[in-house]
Amino acid sequence: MKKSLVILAAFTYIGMTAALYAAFLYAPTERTMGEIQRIFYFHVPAAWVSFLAFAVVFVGGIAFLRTGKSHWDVLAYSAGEVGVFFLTLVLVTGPLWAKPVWNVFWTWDARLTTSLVLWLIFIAYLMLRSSLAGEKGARFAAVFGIIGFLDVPLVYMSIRWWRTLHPAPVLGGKSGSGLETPMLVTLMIALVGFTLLLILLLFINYKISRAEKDLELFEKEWRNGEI
Amino acid sequence: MTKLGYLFLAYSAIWTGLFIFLLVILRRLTKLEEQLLEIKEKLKK
Repeated sequence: MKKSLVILAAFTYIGMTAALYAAFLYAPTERTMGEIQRIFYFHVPAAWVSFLAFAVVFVGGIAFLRTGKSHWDVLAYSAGEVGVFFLTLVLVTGPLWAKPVWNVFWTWDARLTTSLVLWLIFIAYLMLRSSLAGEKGARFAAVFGIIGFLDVPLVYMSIRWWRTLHPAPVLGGKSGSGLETPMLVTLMIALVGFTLLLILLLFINYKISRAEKDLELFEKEWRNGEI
Repeated sequence: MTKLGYLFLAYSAIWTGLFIFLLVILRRLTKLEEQLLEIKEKLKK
């Protein structure tokens, strides 16, 4: 195993453990929602890293369309898988937070609906990419991923543009919004931990996808007698 | 269910998700290893 991967894994472990400690033992209990608000410290960072992963799909898609190099296509697809994984966590933890606070698991408000649409878009992207082989399929998926990413700013801005049941933004929101220092510190630690986790999972996923692609190419050339 | 129960469920979902993700990666690695072995056998012949 490469030394860089071991170091990255160690830092991720430290970051995630620190986030867990801060979420349960350092951050104070929120006054109105109580203990359930502690979901926030993993729910928000999971959403954040899913956006980052979809940004990689966007950048990877553009780079692939410009250069035609297959590693960009592999990177975009790997990031799409990791992004869907994190967004799934968001869509599972969100309703578990909503139920005791709103008394319903789900409501069709702007933030929830745009998030679900984003998830469906990238599920479609993954299905499309895996079902279409060859350069043409990769190009089509790249365009789909680039367009799909346009839903990310919509999800981000949804609680600013529309009246929703979802809590207002605590960072970069209106005056009077914000977090107490221990809560903000906890959120920052969790954001760092989750970002490291994203990098680690993306790195591993990309390496495996690359090896699969190389092996597939090798077998194809072998069968055609080119090797 | 109490609020603490929902909190437990949410964090369990995160660990379960991570565990499943790692299992999927492990399955892909095993498959890769099998394919490599297959090629190795073919090359020997």
